[in-house]
Amino acid sequence: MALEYGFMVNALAASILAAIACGIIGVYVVVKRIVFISGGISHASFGGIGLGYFLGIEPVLCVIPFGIASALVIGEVRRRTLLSEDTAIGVIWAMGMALGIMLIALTPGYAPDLLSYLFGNILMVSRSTLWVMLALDMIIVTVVWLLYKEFLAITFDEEFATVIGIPTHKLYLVLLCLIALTVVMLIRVVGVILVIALLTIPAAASRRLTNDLRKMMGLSILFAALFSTTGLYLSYLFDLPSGSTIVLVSGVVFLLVSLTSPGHSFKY
Amino acid sequence: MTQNIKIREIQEMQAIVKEVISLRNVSVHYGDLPVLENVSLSIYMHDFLGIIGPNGGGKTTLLKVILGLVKPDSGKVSVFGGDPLQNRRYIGYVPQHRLFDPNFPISVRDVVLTGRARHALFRRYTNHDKKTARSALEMVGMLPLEDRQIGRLSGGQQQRVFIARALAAEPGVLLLDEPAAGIDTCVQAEFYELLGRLKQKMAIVMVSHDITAVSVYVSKIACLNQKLFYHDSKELLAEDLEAAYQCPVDVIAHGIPHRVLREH
Repeated sequence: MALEYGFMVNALAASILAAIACGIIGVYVVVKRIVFISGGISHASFGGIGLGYFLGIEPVLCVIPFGIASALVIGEVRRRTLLSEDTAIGVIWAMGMALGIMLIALTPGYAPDLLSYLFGNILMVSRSTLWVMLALDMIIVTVVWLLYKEFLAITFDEEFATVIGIPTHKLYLVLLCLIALTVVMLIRVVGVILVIALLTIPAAASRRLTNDLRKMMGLSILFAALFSTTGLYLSYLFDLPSGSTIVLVSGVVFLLVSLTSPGHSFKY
Repeated sequence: MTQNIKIREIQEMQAIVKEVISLRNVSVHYGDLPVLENVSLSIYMHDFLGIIGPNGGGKTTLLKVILGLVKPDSGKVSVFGGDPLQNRRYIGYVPQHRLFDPNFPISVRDVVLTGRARHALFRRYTNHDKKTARSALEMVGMLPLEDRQIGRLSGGQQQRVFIARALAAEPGVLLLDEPAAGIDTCVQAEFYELLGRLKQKMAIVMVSHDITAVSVYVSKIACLNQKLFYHDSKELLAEDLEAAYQCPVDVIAHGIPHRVLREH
């Protein structure tokens, strides 16, 4: 069956590796209510893809520095500028996208897999991309393991954390960088535009089943893996685009969990 | 000449020992809007100071100035004799509990442990951290509910948890922003008695718009509406209240020990 094909094995591995990152980081995105910021980082990252095309480098590798740069800009803007935070995010969001399209237009020739960066195409994941994803997962898991307590303090009550002497702003920038790295992994799976689905749906679904942040992370990894493998399989069976199938599967399961979970009415 | 400087230094040192928090001619503006005007205030160890004033009178801003979260346009703030940014870690800050996200997946125990997060920065919580958090919970009577998710508590219980979190950091002064808001009157009495006990170990500053509740329990009272009316005592002049609220204020006198107004 499907696993006879090497590209299906790679796709399966990629969806599990991406699930680990978005399961953990998505929990912070959801509980700290920084969905819009994460959307800004992921869309701005498209500028990195354009830069990759323009310079003739593997786009995913260009997205890493570009995504981190936009995360840092968004994080700094929040603290310094007189603009309101969501206006600033909106500006960076759109400028990153525009820059990406501009650079692709300036690149001679045709950009063959442009759509796959916008909407994902997990079937195109190469073995070398898998190694990059594994490395990113290891970075994310290690940093969260080391800074779990500090992240909990700043996500629950940033002001109190600042007052008692925790370097809140620096830790917040680290968290935004982790979001940028997660975005890089998810671009392959669901694309720049649909990244937000896998950053929010698995975490929000797991919130309905537990009151504990650690358990939420575990459950949310499971949900993300389940959604992406099921979506992948359905897209193979019915010859559908993989990214949007994964997102729709996530959305449908989330609605079912929301409507049936016992007595929980958490507003996430 | 040198001797004079020495004497001044000694006097300053003595002032530092006594003064937990001091504000000298502090003014804050948001744009053109004056929020605090020329506020001077000294808070000493074992003070239980209630700051009352109308909504929008600058009470929360005053707390944020003390915490170094708002930088004053002019004037000098000192906390334990130093810069608020350096020394605010010795302040136990209890923000308005209604501003929290009640859905946040965190247990009572973990909320209180975040009070130890600076002590345990970039390492695991030690047994000492856990014990300190535990005894803070015990002090406010919330130990039996330590496994509860924070949103599954009543307003009064949440308030106690946030006090425990502040106490876990072993502060020298407790700063409370509208602690009684949204709490039943009978629970309030219990709550103020808790603060009365804590006063033995530290200074307490509490802002509130509720004049009568505050006036019964505090040992000193100030009134804030851009300007601060304060006489380092529990007495407020009727003129002060009128000036602050800009209308006549009826204050129920609670007999000699609890009175807010001087006898006329």
